[in-house]
Amino acid sequence: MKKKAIAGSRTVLALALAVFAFGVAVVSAQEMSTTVATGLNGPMGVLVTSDGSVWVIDTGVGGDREVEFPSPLSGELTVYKYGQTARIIRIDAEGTQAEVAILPSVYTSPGDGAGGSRLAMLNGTLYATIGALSGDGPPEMGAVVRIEAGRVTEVVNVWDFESDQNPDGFRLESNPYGLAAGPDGNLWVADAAGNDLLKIDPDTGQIEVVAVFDGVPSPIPNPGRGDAMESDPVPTGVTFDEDGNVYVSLLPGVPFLPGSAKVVKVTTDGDVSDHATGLTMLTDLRTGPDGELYAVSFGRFSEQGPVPNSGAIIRVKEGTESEEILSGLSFPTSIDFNAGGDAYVTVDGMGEPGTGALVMFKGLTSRPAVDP
Amino acid sequence: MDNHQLIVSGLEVYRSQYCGLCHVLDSAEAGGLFGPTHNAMGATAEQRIRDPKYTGMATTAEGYIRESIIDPAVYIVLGYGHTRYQMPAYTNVSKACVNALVQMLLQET
Repeated sequence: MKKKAIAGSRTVLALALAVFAFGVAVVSAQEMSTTVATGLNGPMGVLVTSDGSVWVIDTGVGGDREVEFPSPLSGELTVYKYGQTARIIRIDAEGTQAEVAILPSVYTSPGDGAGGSRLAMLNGTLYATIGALSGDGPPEMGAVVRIEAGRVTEVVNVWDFESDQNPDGFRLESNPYGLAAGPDGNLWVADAAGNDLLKIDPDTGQIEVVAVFDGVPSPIPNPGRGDAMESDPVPTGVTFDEDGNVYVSLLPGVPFLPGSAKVVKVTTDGDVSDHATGLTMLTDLRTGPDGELYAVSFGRFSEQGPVPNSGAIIRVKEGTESEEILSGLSFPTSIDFNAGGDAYVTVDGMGEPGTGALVMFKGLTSRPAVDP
Repeated sequence: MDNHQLIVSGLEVYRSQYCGLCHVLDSAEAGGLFGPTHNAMGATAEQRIRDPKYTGMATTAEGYIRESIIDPAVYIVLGYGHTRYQMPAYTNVSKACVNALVQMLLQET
């Protein structure tokens, strides 16, 4: 079994959430929200498909087996529970929920675990990313998988690719996180720890590195990047515009400064440029049915830890003109829309087991910016 | 600069360098998540340099704290050897700021 490095960005978020109390989705406009699903164990991704179905994927709570990893929280070797407890749940147009598949999960405590990450539907087939932790972990972690009739099949193990290629040249880390079905018929994956954007052939598992993201300026040195004064970029969400250009949200890593997050544009040639800047802790990015980009802002991080109910949904505009259209969310992780512009948002993505939820905000795309 | 001024200045440096993001220090209202506590740092530093497992060069508590700021890799506190959030070497910070930081932490007993 190959040695796995700690999955940076996932760990960033995990640690950010490891020590605070979870809460309910408190929004500035509660009257427009509907709780669609509760009892989720670290919901990381939501997907709305053209038939009106809503799919959600969670991290899980480990299982009966025990595996040892260095804890990203303390650095000490820690026994993680491991098992098939991450879930993909489908909620049909009538609101009926069904468990579609289960995936591997490792877990010690709220926020300190990995499992299901994101979902995409490509040519009628469902795909998912599975996160990773550190140490000699279960080999099925850090992968992109296909789900057909409840059966989970690995498309490719991204950790293996990272350990062979290490595209960014820094620490060996991989956390396949953001996932999108590309108009070219490929799967596009944001490796949040590898700090790159990957294009994956769903049939062969062949990986092409589309872009490696630069570090983000930081006021403190980063030992993981040769003590450069920059944070890890930590790509989280991937989406496309009508012209096939790719947009990627960057978290970025420690010290999680407000305003340090951004959305970058990646051309079909792999050129990366800033599209929107001045944002905070972005965990997802989607193109709405109106053609606008929408980002999930996980919340603010202070020296006292993550600030409760500081999450937001952002309508992304070029430069520094982005608008906050929903505020006061409890650590949202992902977003998707139906054709009518209703938004589905996963909240409390890394709180105590069972506290995660999926909330629907009616007509969010037509909502004006909230007052600052 | 008298000792009180140094401590005040040290607290400012502590905040400006985001030390509290990783470390706990009550006097700075910092509840960091990723590194060992800075509460009672002066007393802890005395213990560390007497620990047979200590691998640094410092012979005083003051020296230990200074070393931990500018060359943290020489001694890693037990339990933090594998953390992803390694302590950066703050060689970018001025000598005056490091001095203030050292004095501030030293009086945490």
